[in-house]
Amino acid sequence: MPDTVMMSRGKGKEGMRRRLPPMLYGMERRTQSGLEPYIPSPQQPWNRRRVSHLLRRAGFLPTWTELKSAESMQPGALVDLLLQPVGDPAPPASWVGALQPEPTTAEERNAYRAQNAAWLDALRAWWTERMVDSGMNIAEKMTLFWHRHITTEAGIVLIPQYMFQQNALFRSYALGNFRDLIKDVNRDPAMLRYLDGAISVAGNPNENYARELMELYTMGEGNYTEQDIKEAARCLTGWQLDEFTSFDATFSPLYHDTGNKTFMGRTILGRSSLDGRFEGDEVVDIIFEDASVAKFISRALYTFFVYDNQEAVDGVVVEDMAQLLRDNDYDIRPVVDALLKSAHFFDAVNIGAMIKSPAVFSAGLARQLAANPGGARLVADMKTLEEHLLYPPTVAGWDGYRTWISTTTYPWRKSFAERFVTGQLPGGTGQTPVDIIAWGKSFDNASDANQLLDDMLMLLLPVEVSASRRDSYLQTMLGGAPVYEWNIDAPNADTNLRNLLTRLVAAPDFQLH
Amino acid sequence: MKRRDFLSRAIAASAGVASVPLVFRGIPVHAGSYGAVGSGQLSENDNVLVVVQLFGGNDGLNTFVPYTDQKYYQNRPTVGIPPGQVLKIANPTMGFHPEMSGMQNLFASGKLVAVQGVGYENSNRSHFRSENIWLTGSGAGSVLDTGWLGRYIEFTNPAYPLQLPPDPFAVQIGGTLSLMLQAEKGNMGITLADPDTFFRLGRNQLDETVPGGTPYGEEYLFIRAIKEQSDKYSQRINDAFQGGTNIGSYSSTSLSQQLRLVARLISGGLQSKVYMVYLGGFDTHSNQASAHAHLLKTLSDAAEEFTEDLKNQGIGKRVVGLTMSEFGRRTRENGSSGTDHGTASVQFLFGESVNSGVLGQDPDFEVTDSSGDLLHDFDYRQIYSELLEHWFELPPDDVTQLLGGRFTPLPLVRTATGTRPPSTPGDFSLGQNYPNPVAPSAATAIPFSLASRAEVEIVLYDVQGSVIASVASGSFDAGRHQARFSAFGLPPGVYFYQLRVGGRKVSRKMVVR
Repeated sequence: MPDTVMMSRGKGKEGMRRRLPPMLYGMERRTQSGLEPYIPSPQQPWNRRRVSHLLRRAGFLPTWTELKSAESMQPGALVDLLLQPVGDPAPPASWVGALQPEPTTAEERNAYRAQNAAWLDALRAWWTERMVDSGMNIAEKMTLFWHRHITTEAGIVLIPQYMFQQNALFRSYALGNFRDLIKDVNRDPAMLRYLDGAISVAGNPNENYARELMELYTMGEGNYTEQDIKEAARCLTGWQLDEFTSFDATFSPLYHDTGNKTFMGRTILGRSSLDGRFEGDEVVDIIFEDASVAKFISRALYTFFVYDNQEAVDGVVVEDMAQLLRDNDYDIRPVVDALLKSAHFFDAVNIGAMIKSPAVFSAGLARQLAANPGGARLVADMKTLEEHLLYPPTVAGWDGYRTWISTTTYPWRKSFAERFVTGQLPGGTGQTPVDIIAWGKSFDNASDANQLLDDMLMLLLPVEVSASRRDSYLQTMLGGAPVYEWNIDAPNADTNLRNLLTRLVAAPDFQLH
Repeated sequence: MKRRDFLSRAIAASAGVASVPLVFRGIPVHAGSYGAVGSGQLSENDNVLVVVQLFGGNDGLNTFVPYTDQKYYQNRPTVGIPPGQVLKIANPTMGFHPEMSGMQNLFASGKLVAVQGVGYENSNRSHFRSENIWLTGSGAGSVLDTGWLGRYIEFTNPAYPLQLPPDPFAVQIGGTLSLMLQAEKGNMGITLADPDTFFRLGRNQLDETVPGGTPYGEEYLFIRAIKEQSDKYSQRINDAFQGGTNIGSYSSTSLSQQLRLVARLISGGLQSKVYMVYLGGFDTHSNQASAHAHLLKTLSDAAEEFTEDLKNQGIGKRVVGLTMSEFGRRTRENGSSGTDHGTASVQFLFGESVNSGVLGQDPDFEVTDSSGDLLHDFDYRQIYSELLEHWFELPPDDVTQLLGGRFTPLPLVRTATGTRPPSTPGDFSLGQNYPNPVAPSAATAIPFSLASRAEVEIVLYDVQGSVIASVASGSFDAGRHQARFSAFGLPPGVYFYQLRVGGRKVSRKMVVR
């Protein structure tokens, strides 16, 4: 684990941080639904609410147009569409592959550092724009998943090209093979820099990466010994970095520990020459023979897509996901496919129960309100909301779930959302807000106040609101006029709609999806 | 005498709470018993605890340095602190890291106690698992999902969350709310980045409630509660901030600025019992010398500045600071001029009310664990126990209940110095109800006793803080009493009953099956 900046906090690794939330005494603790396919029924109809549920969870919140286009599809076909492979996006700029001359003077070093910092900013803004542009596809959501799961801090790595490569690695593995991904992470330059792999050498192995490989990325704490960490660290010695020569890691037999190792009860024969680089793969292969791995990553996927408080609602799904993962040799795609098509996923108990992460919240605002203030601004918002992309608070990443909402972040969420609606931020800089009349007209029937309100509620809130709350929203929308006088082209409609939207984005369930 | 024997005897000696002064390794132990404030009573003094979390695993051996022990230098040929550079104190064998003149000054003026060898059985070397252990107060073999101070606050405030107290129970400066401040009922503290922003953004309209019992409902109510707290406390924090002051200078580091804010809020009359601040970066696996020196200077200067400020304002006697870090580092340095994850370590308490000195044995490099690392002499919960029992003046039985076992308090703070509420109608105590848990429709007895005749009321609350019933009410003679109560019709769950005598109160938990 590397140094962390101040004002950030670490609490739990994947397995530890999901603590049972408070106030669940009266809650029905389990559902009967499992991983079997969801079949629409009168009790659990395939309606706009469920279409929205799927789009919200698989992406960064749908637009009205997307929601409309999706509802003509059957659930299985819609999931197939969401999971379709997409090509790589165009990179931020040519710097991603451009080797830099090694700075030699203090002046050059300062310029180099400043340039790198600016490129890292550009990378984060670029990535955030990819989220806004993600459309109806899961790739960007999965890229975020891997960044959250296999954390790396740009503040330690410092080389923007390394961070871009890692981001591209995660995107290329979006639904790929988990074991292969981990093997690539073993020699990922950003990771080698971040957790000291590039300075871990024969005779003086550094345990930093070996520990987190097992604790945070694959097995979870308690499934290996301290000695296993030491032995794995020995296997992984020999990787070197020189960012002025190449953006790839190189393997140097000279620095590799060629002795035999005993890892998790198995012997890994020490190898000299370039073959030493395969010892890290052997470590991964042995790790992936442990039953803990499938369960560990299945649980992470579950809490990313279904509900953070998994124990409260799931008795069997994670176990079944783990089995499916093992049956498919650790390919992620079949598991996510089955999960998003499952009866459990569409169970009413799981609808609207997830707290939006800052990424979903911020990119979702830009998407749903058709008012994108730009990637850099969204990155800054997300940082204030305590999800600073590429800067996880600790090596365990973000705690998520209820820690996203606090007396510090909640008022900010409200203010940022208001800024999308009104253009104003109290005491801060504004943005071009939603063109609310055009936005209103993008719904099916803007001339019918009741239908317009219901469509907006459908788009922005995860669950139907009570009749009294709906009525209160309607009064705000009408500004005191009778409903039959509603006219979106009337002079006061702009103000009334913004007042309504201001209330909607401040509601507790606007934070849910 | 063997070292272990000596220690257990020494601890046994300190455990006796007697009316004559005891001396433990030169430090006077509590001179009076807590009987003076009424056994069984929650004394609502205005003492404050400030927890300083040092995340990453602080290297205790280079913080409080055993510079007279050659084995220290044999284990640490490059990272060891040379004897000539160690800051000397009135102790023949131990001294401070050269950057820690602040704590050296505090020690010299009787405002700091160093507790050596703090840890727990089967020390865990995962940051996150070990941090969870420290934050929750669990042992290595059990996982808790509530914080030790969260439980304390919940226990003493049964009316939460229906009644929010005028001031937040606990304030954490920055970050997502620590597990330390969470309880079954939810967040027992607020997070605060800066009072101005909090005030500016904090005003909220309250939303309607929705039924709990579903994941959506529970998360909605959680967010709504945060909203309510943001609203309520933004004004209060602002008032305290505007009314408070700092007398003395602070460094520009984040930690100093966090503590400066805490001092100002205390000065301004905020009645929060607990504050939490944070400094990360202690995970010094490589090239630790300069990074660690910087961190220790940051910590040490901040502790001194904070203590001086409070002293200058005449409020320092009711504030104690405690450092905590998830583990120490290995006795033997690694090959990267750093240190890997270790075990027991030194922790500090600072303030005008600590029993200044050095507690515990110097690090023992010969009697070690199987990895060659330090054994612990004190369980970290002995510090918690001390603070709950003698700083917050909880009855010993309640401390045992909150910590899940009896941990002999270490003599770290002087008998409580906070002001006490007026009116003392005499000692009283409240026992655990029997049977507990109570079967539905069964009766249970709540024992209590009075030293003199008094007006008494016993009230039952549910977890939401609603008053469920008045169990007893009226004038009772001196002596032992039992209030009988039928759980008929009560839904299963956790309840709290509170005994009120003359404006003072004490609570316990009851479970209905």
